[in-house]
Amino acid sequence: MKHLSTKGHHVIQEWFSAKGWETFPFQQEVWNAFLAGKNGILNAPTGSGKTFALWMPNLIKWIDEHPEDYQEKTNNGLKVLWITPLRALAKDIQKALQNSVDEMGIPWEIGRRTGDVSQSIKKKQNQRMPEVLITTPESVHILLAQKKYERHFKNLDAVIIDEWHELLGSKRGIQTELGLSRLHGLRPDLSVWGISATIGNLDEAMDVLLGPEQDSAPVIIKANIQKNIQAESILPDQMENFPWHGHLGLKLLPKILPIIDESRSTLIFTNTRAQSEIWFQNLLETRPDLAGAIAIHHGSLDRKVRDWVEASLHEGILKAVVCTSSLDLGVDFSPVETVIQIGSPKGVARFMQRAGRSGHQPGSTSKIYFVPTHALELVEAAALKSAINSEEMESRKPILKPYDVLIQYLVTLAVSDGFYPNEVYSEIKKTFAYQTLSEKEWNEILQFITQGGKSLARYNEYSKVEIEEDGLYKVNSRKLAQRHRMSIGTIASDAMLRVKYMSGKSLGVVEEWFIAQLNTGDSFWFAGRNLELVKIKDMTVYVRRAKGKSSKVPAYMGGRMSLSSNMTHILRKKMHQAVSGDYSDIELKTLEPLFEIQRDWSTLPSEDQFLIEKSFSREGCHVFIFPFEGRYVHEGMSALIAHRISKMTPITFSIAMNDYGFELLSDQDIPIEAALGEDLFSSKHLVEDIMASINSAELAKRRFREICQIAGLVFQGFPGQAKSNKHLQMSSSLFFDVFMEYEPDHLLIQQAFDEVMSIQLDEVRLRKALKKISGQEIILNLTERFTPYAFPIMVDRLRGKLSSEKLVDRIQKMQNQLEKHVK
Amino acid sequence: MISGSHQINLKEQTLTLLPDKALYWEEKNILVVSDVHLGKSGHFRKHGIAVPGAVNEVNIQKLEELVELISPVKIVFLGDLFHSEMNEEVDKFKDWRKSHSHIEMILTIGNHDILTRFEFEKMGLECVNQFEMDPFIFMHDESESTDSEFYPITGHIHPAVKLSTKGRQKMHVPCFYFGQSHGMLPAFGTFTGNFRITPTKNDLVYGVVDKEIIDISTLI
Repeated sequence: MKHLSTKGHHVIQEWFSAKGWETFPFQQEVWNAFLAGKNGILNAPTGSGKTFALWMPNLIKWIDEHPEDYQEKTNNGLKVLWITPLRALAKDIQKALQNSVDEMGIPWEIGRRTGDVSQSIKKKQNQRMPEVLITTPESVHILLAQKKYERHFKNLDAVIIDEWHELLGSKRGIQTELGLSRLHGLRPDLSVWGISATIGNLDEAMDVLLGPEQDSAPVIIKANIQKNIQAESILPDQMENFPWHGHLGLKLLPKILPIIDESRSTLIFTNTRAQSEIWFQNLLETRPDLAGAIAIHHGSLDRKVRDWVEASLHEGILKAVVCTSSLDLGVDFSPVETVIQIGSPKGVARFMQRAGRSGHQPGSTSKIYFVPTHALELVEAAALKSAINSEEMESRKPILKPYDVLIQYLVTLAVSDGFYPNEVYSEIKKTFAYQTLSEKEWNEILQFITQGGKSLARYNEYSKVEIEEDGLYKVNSRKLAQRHRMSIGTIASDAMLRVKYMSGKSLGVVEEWFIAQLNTGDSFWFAGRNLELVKIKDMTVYVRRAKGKSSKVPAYMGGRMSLSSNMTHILRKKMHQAVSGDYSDIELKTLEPLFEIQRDWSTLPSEDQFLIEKSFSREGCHVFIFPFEGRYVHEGMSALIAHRISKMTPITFSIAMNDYGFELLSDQDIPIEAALGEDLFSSKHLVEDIMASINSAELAKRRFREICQIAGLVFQGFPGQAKSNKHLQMSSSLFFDVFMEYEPDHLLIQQAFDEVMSIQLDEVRLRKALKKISGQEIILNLTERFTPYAFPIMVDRLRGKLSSEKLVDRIQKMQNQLEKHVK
Repeated sequence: MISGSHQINLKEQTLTLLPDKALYWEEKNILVVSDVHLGKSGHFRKHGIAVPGAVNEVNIQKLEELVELISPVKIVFLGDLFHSEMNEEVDKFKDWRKSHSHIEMILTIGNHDILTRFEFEKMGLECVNQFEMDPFIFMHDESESTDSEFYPITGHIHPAVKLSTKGRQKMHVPCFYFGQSHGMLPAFGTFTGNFRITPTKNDLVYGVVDKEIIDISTLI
């Protein structure tokens, strides 16, 4: 490699040599591009040396700018901002960077500023910023909410966004874009680099990060490091006894015990916090000797508890940890030799990411076991195993124009030094997310934050952002400013209560509605412990250790994940492989008896067939439809189909779905036969039909919850804090009803409905799915029993509702049913 | 009879349950209204939370319509008439009160009514903790102690019930409730939430559904 002639290169090269390390070609490539003034994306997995790839050029630049006194100059102001999605990663990066400058004798300070850094350190930073600050997107915005924040950034040279793929496609990603737009406004020559794992749309990821207008051509540099992954399914001994439905997977628990025993350290990934608690509880009950050697880790546990688990994993003193996506990312746990995935990981990328948590040493193999929670999940296992080899990764679709995040950002600027709309407008127009924001939309947003809606005399009591004489938009109320600073962020949460022992030790947080179902003296399982509820005071649940067994495990709200489109694609391929008689995968072979039952009782649909089953039970009439397109698409398609049938006759449905299909259930006969004659699956009038369904309002209401919190309509308060803002609390669903009635064209209501179409129902995928169906032969079977395909959907408890009957009629009908019953 | 309303007989008195979530006592010509929460939207707006301002106007409009329809001699507000401190919406209510000076208006104080008695009296509201009229006693919260032998009619909790049926359909419905020990009115105000109650057998429950009152006692 060339360009090694400068002093900077020389110092760095020497440091590498002294360590006995070699620089990778991709690292040098990044250094050169960075130093040539280019921006870009580095595509590299964790543990590949990606941090140094983007860290070293900053040092080279520094040394070359100050070849004589680079080891003397202190107090240089903030030079590099390092943004990471996970604060747990921040510490490790801080350590690595600090070591390197210390060893090179560069007197730089590497600071950290995340939610868990103490106030006193933050205060010190406010007076004197370290040369490097490792932080999160939220913390950047909290900095922007400070008085005179501009002074912090006047020496800023570079911003590195770590794990950009994790942020992309989420509102945290939008927050990152907005933060960057302001920093660019302050420092037009800023270097911006992202680090991303492999995703299906790397080019787009770069456009989003850097904005649509780039002066010089940005670059994508690939590390091209292959990782060996070995995946194996845990198979039930007897298929006959293996459940057709379920989501816990405990049936196979005995089979993973030997794996835990034989491996130095094992991570057991579950999909929900409740599931992790249940698995932990059952592991302990089955193997009491593991007490103390196994631990639990999920997002609701106290930071200190989690830190302890992470540190213990790192040191290799834990035999196994049951965890959730809380350990998807984060520091290296070298002692981890094995990963076990319970239930569907829902996507190829997540499966590989989790597999990669084992065998962390370069060149070693990652080992992952897949534990199906019900029979059909074995098909997913087979599909995942094939996908690993083909490296088909999911794309992360960017979100466009979310008003809520922009509203929060503008208020953030208004609580610090205020802003002039023209300045900020031209900045945000340069972001990918808001490039298409019209002036009309912009003005409505400004009206919303200054007048609380469209301008009318009666609104004059509204106070939030005020317009000063010179046109500066500013929040002057200290109370408002304080409330806003505390609620910066885009991750919506339910009201949470802190769980504490009587002695004061904190265990974590639980949702308020869960605790509301419990009485004093009841016991529940949390943080891997059996606890008794003693009292609730000031948003805190006081508990003591309980004796005996308890059955209650906190369930947690939150939408269930859907299979990615990538995943459904390979899943269908595997299904069709089995239908055509190719049982070469051990998983499919194991499932053969189940497929035979499906064939006997109904049909095993081939690639050009589309299966619908109809049956009757005491509950009413069931229609099962099997597109195999993932939960999100099914959500939209079921609303669409239900609406179209309900246009033919007044009828009420309840709707259930999983990743394979959906069910319509009604107390009256569903005229599916007639409906099929009427172009039921047409994509004509798709949007109108979905919007007309009552379901769309219900879905929009669900989206509105998050929007309300981000836009500052709902203020959550914090666990452990007295409910001082109780008089300003109102549920987002009531807000939704009120807005729908009085201002149905409100920006945030529009956003909720847009999100339903674009995010929740994934319109693009839905259209594709409908198009595919139109080319298939529809098979309608009247079945006597629930088939292996139908059964898991039927027992799924997440149900929607759609009705074309008047509510009054429905109640009348309920009364009639009741009378019949009595007679 | 007002469209959608439902008449019941309680303690040998004729009570009409109105779909606007108010109660009319025929024999005494009294209108009973609970939990209007006037000024709630203004309170939120003052603190930078942008609730549509129209909400308040609807509340006063609904009151006005009822008064025109029924011409009561007396209105009893079962507490939480105002959500918080003085604001513009309170002023609007004052104007409305003045335009009906011939009607006697009584407020049984609720936990949200934080204005002083003096201020209430000044706007022409008779202010009491409980209001007795044989065979009923009106008050905000039934858990307040009372020595009265009369049947308490209260507000405060904004009652609603959950109905479920075959096909696993579920819905929440605001309701009037008349149990063994006391009766409860649904919240009159538009910008108010609900609290789900679980009635027991023999309780009388009337749901407010699509501008109609329906006897749903048998469904619970």
